[in-house]
Amino acid sequence: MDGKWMMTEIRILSRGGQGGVTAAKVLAYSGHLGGKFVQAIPKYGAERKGAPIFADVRIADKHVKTHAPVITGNTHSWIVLESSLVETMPLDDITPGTIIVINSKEIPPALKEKKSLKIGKVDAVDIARECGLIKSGTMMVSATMLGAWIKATGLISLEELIAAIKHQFGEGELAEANIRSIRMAYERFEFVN
Amino acid sequence: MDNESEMKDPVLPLGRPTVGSAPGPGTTGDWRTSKPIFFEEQCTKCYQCWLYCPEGTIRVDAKGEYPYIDYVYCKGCGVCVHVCPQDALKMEKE
Amino acid sequence: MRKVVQTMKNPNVQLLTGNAAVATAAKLARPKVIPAYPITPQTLIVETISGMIARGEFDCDFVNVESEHSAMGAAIGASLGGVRTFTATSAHGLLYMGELVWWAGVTRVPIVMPVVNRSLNPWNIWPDHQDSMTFRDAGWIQFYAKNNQEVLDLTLCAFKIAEHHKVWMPVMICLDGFILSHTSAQVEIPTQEEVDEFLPPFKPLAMLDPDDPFAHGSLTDSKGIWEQRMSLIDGFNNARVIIPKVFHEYYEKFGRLSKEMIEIVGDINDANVAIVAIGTLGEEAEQSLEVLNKRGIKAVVIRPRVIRPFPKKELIAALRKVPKLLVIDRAVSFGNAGQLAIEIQAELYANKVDIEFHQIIRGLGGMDVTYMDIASEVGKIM
Repeated sequence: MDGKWMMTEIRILSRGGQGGVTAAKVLAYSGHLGGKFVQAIPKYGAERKGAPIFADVRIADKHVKTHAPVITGNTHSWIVLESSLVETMPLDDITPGTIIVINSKEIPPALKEKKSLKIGKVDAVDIARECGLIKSGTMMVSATMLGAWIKATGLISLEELIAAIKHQFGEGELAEANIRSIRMAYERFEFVN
Repeated sequence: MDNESEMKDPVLPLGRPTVGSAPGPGTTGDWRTSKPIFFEEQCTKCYQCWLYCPEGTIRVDAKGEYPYIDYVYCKGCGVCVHVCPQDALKMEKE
Repeated sequence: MRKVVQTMKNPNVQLLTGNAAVATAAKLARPKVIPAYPITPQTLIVETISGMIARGEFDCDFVNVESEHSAMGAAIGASLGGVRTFTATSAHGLLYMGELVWWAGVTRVPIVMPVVNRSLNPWNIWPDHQDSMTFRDAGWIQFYAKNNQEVLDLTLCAFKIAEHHKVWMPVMICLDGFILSHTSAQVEIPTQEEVDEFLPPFKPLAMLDPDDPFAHGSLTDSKGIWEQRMSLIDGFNNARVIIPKVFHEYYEKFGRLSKEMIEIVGDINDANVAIVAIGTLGEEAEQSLEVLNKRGIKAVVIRPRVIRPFPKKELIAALRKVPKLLVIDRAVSFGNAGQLAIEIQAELYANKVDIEFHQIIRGLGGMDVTYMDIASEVGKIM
């Protein structure tokens, strides 16, 4: 925005069932715990397993007055939960320097050409499998990817994220598995450019 | 007007059934073309006529008493004649 | 006045969706009967409340009805039975309960009902104000909330206003579907003790009593209808006075809302243009002020948070101070224009306000309206 105050806008791209909407809530809650003003905005409509969906998060120094989805040109970072979703991204509208955190073994070709963006990857599917985060045959990579995102951006602390995970899932094995996956993604995430 | 005590109170649509509340003078008995006649000797005091009368014009003053018809309000619909199991009521032309 | 402190140390500030804010406010108000039927995007209100009641978190009968028509029917019955009553709906659900919405409105049954705004036919689940605007003449007080916090605040005030014996009429709290209902944002939740101090127990003005039977809303002749309609007009005039009083009490106690039925953001004495919008579009317009300021346009946002009774006096007083006006509607009266625009134009004429008037319709069927869009619309009329 301007020099007086900061508003960070994050878009999470995912497929229905991967936990993108939950990730937005958890990320917003982490910001809330850090004393920031936040919004988690799910885009509903195509809530079918496998359908491409997105959810937005805003983290700001003061009360957020806008209610619209994030403006693509303003985004600070994108979290992509499945690599083929890169094809749905308006890559030409995204401001140079924007951070793209992608769940993939390899960087998709369309992204490789975008040298102006700061791109990083982690194999969250592998991590989710290792941590037993499997629901109805799907690897739940949403929390895992948040671990990669905080490594990439440093905007939220690991402790705040872990506290938010506990708030979302309660104490117990599910929360512990998610926290393990977050720590692993935090370790394994790397920028490729 | 800003003073609450000077504000008008709401008028609520509350009503109680009253005798003779139909439009006009309210004496619905004059709508009749035939009237039910009651024969005490056949009546078993089952009070079906009292229960079914759609206008409440068949009265029973106390349990054990015979019912009687208020002809000022009876519209002559004949329901009582229809439901009486003892044929203690008959319709008669006015 | 209390200030909201946004830290981990203030446990009363929680991240809530608009629907969760509604459910929380409803619980704090201690209604005794909630008959409701789920419909997107209101479903989470019903789910959350039925869960709270099932877990014994508050003492209330939740009535699982088979339709919205029955929901309002049961709500009317419960309210006439002498208890605080709450329900919630949206879009097609509101239309389906339509007959009984009018019953509750014109026969004065003080039910509180959030309407999660959603577009009408053909099938579309996204927000606009067409559903609630269709019922603005039904004898209900109507609020439009700008954010999740205001959803909670207005819902709590709604009970106090509806049940005031000089008002005694139902209240609709309108919140934009998804934009508020499903978006998580911070909401400060008052404690039960604070709410109990603010909101006294339900005191029926008339109560159905099997030992002393009477009928509510039985066949009424023309004269009786006339008398009741005139009384309803008086009731809305009373509400014009009572609503600001209750808002002010709320402000004194909780530090939010103000005693005005409209909210003005920006310096109205120095503005070149005013933007009038309701619901989240109002707050979106607030965000555009910064952008406009950078472009050298001094704008002000005038947002009615109450649409029925229509805050004529406040709007006219504000609009006298600006040379230009842009009204943004999120609904249409087909064959005429946006409802807000129509009503403001009528007041401008009646009060001989000399102002350049512009109107646009935006955001129907959930079309996104960003603060940049609003800024560019304002730019076009400058």
